[in-house]
Amino acid sequence: MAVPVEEAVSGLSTFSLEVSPHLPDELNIFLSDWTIHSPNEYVTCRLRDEQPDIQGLAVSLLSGWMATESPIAYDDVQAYQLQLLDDTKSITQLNNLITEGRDMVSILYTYRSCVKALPQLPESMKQNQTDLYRETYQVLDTEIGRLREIKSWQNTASSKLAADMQRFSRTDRRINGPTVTHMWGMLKLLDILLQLDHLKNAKASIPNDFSWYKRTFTQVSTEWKDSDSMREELDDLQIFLSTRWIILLNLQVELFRVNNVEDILQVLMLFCLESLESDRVLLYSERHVLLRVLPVVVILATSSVKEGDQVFKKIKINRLIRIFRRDPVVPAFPDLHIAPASMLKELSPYFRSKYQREYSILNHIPAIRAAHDDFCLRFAAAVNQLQLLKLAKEADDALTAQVKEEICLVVVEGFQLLSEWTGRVWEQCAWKFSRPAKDAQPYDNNTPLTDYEKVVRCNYSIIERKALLELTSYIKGVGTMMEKVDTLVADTIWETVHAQVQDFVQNKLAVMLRTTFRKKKEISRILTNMRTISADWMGNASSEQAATAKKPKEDTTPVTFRPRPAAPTAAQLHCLQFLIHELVTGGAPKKAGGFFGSGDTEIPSADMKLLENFFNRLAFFPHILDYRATLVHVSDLGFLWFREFYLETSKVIQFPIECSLPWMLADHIIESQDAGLLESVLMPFDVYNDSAEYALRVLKQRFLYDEIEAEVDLCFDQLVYKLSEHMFAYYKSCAASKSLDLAFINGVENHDKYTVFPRRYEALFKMRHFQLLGRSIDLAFLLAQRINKIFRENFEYLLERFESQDICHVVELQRLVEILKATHELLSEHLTLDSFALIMSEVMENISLISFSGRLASQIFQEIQNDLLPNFILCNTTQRFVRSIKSSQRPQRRPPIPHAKSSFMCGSHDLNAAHLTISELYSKFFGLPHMFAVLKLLGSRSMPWLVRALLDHLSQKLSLLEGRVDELLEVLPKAISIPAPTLGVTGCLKIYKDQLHWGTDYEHKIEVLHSLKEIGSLIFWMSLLDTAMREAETVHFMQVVPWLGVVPGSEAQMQQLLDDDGNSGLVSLFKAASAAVASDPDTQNPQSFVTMAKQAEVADILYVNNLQTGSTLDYTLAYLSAILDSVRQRWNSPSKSGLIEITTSREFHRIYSGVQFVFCGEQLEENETNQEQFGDAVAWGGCTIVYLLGQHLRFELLDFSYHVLTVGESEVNPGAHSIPDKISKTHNISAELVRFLESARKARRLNSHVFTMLRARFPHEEKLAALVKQSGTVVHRIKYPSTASAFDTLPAKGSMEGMNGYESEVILS
Amino acid sequence: MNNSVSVGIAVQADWDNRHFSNSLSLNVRRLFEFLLQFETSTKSKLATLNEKLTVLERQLEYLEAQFNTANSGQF
Repeated sequence: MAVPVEEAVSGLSTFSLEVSPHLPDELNIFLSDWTIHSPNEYVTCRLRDEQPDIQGLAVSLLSGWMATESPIAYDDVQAYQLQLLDDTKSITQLNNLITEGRDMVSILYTYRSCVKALPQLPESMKQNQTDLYRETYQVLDTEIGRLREIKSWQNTASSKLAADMQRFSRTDRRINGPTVTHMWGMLKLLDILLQLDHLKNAKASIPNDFSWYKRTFTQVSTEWKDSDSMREELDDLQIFLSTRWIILLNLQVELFRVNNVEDILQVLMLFCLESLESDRVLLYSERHVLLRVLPVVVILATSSVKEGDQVFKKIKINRLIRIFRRDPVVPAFPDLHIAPASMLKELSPYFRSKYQREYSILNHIPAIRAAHDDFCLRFAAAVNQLQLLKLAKEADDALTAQVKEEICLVVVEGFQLLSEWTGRVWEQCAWKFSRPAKDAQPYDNNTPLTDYEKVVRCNYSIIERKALLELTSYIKGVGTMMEKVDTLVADTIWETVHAQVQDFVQNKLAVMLRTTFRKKKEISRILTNMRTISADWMGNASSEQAATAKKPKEDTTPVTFRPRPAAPTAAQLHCLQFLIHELVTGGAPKKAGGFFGSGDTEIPSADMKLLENFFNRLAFFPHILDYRATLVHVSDLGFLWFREFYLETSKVIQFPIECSLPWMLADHIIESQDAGLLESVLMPFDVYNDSAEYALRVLKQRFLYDEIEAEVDLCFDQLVYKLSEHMFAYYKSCAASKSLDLAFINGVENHDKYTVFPRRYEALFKMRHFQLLGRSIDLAFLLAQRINKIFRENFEYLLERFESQDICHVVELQRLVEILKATHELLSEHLTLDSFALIMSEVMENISLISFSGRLASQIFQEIQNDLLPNFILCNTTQRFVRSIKSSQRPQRRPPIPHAKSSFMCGSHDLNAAHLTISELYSKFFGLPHMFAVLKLLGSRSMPWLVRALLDHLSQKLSLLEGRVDELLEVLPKAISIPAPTLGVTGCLKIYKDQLHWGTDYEHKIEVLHSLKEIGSLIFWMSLLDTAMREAETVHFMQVVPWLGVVPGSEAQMQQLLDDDGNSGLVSLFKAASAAVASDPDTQNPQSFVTMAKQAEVADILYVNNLQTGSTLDYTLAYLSAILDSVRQRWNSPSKSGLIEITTSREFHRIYSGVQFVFCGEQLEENETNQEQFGDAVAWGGCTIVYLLGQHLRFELLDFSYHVLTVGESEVNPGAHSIPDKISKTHNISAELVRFLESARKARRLNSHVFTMLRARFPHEEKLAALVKQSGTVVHRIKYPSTASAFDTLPAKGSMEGMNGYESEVILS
Repeated sequence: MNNSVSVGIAVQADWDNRHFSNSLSLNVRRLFEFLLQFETSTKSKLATLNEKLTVLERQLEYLEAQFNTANSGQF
């Protein structure tokens, strides 16, 4: 050898990608994954790719069939000098015919009717009919031209095949052959002819188009001169097209003409039978060829009864029958099958039983599953062993050989399994096509089912779909697994094949030569030939000589030889096959029974066994050597998509995707929600890949590819859409399920429905370069994009839903937003989504930097303004607002609740129900939970806006009230005398009633009450908000304080403990950490840690300043007080003397007293009490204004209702609680009075509560007042502190009489 | 016999040649496979990068919109 192999090889394999020192740091890190330094590393190196293998072989670079079909058309066979020249020529000729024939078959298979597309002329254009005919003729002529070609081609093919058969059939033949390859050639050509015939029979559009063509021809040809010959030709073509099986009949005639072909036909028949009976055929496609051809051969061989008898004397008919029975349906085309029985009418009585078990994958799936699991384990183990072996420096020869042998075995087994599985899918399809679903119901009531729907859409039950999917995944999975190790195992396989061939020719044959066949010249010649053509002595001249010199018998030690990664060529294998065949049949193939095991006396059975084994193995070798091509072939499921025949019979352009098997499978995975199948969801798309490949490379039809592409586009969109919806729903329900109370889930009976079972979407989230029709698709990106959109849609829906309901549903909204947020968190682990805050502010429409309101904030404000304040009443006891009785409601117009998928709520129906039940609890009132919800939803951004808006509303309401109060002030009588307690309750009430006409008769009194109620409601709302905010802030405070070093100080004040350097804990911690990190020389980027320390300082400042925040309620009260300043002059008129004006006061509290008197005494609406209509908010409003005007003490002193109540109380036992009851029992008083007293008592209790609260929250400054001492002297301007409510410190009854006089006494006592 | 010997010699030479060409083709295939792996790996990384950039882009858009609300009319 002139070229040093090792050097060249190592030169090639020391490929390395060095990291350049000039690249920036990040890029270096980026590239360092890919650095390879040594060849060994290179072999085993797997680049890091996050994507899981859940796709089949999408793209495969094929180096062609190098061993199965000789790349140089067996030109090198001559070199072996076996006199196979004629045979080789025939093989080449046959192969050419087969290639041409395949093209013809694909033309016929993909033929679509042109006539259907022809336009009809409208009446107005009838004069142009001839033009139309001419155009039509031209269009159809090209198509019919192809048919003509087919017709002439089949003629040539038949005659060539017949001649070929005849040449190799003579018993006294002078030429060698036919070889096994040759026989395959004949069989394949026969198969092509059969397929053509079958297609011609099945395609109705061809005769259709032809008859149209003929009609236009008669129209057009009138203008031509010599059209007779053409017409004749047309007639011929018509006969060709309309006669069934004409190609086969033609062939039969040809064979009959050349005669003498019975021998070869018998040989072929035997070959088929043997191959089918043994497991010599590796590929399912070859097995199908044999199954299809066998009946043809039988028909040809038994063209007459006599011949038939002759044939069946030698070949037992039972063998044939067994095969035909076992496979009654044979796939021929993707959507068309062949039934041998129907071709063999004479044999048909044998083939009537049903064979469902045989075909349905469902019945095989458990076995397939077990085989798959077992194989995967063993394959992985074998590959592992091989990798270890390659890494090992020194390896034991025996172990090496064993490992390599094992690799070869698993590879063969893998091919066998894949071939068997893919064959099963083909066969199941064919079987399904032969048995359309009979009782299928149409999916759409208006349109009946098409034939294709009957055989595909309705013909696969759910479990069948699942089984098919599982099998598809196995095929694709094993295919991918084997493809990954292609280059790893390639040399091992070569070595093993080489070793096996060498072992046979150098050892086994040597032994045979020396022992058995020593005397038999002819046989030893063949054996020597075998050695000559394939032995590789590797310069081991001694063994070469030893072999030729025929050493003495006793030297029987086997020859050892070095393993060599060089595979035998196609020609070598071909010749070896031929020679063994020749040897076994002894040059007379016509023997009965078959090739091996026919009881030939010349070869002993042990040697025969050896030969047969090797012969069988020879059939496998080419396929193993063509590793990748075989792999692609046996894992090709593209046929599942094709439906040319059904398109034709259904007279539609294309079927919808629901009828398409690949999409049916994908859809089944998505819809069935079967967690086990989820990772296979991309497998059906591999089927599309295969189909596209088949359409382009085999059928060579662009329009088919376009159709597939269009379907894939549609399906893929659907897939992304559906997948993202399901993923979202799944994670939503996970989030919703987690947010349910654990105790509740444990306690509930049927708690399974609230738990979400895990589904493995993780693999799909990692699909970064999914291969589809040659494109690389970033599935994760598409999913993220879609899910981002869903989040926005969902949020939008939640807001719309809230907008169509009242403010009480804010709790529900908040819960749903929380769940949505949790969903976002869960999904963010896998996908890169927009931040939730961003989505939220986008949907809430508060992106703007200068506007603080938002969609939700303004909605809440509107609800408060238009619904909560006017239509709800406050219940002071429960601290809630509830909706008042219908009649007094201001009607609200809201949009209807939008309908939504369950995924937009909580994910699943059951979870929706559970969460709705919880939310339902909060849907009838507005209280503290709602306030928390509002606070959480609006956050610190929009909350101030809302408070501001409400305060503005408050001032509006007050200005409304102002007018009314002024009107009342005008009608207020000069003096209202206080009736003496001696008059009794009834008397007091009567006197007041007389004096308070101005109030009771006032036309706008209800309006005044409403205004007061709304003001009160607002103040109460603020106090609720204050409570909620306090709580939230306290939590925040507790979380922040330890970091800032704040501790309780000496006088219950906060005190910040600072570190030595004057920093808080947080800052010093970060500073110390960043200093430590920066000092470490290994740190790559110390700057970022310094930045972090700076940020800590900023955070410190921000948090410290936020520790002490104000109270909303205090602010509201201050605000209200400020508004009241404008009316304070008019409503607050203290007497000039400084003493209290008891009867003539014209202050606001008088007006309010009047209003309260009306409120207590009069029923303002017919069907409801004042309490039901206005609630407790009137007192809140009135008392707050009174308090802020500084009149609360005078109000409590002088109020009309209080006075009546006090008188009433003094009449009965002062200690009693239920005074009105007692009064009504003891004193026979009217019910009206009882009601008044009850209301007044309630009002007094409520008022005092409000005053207490106000005093606590908004203490008045110490005020000056005048004091009249008991001695009668007046002390002007005395300071008195603001105290608790007067009624809390009210003196007992004894001292009560004295209190009527002066306020000061009350204060000072 | 001579024929057979010359065939034998030719076959031997053929084996050697094929050994060489097979090794060559295998290593070319390995190189090729490496390139394919390199491509897929790159694609993964680029896809991740792309996604990050897209998110950043959207955030930038958001910030731009925010900024414009405060600056409308001035630029």
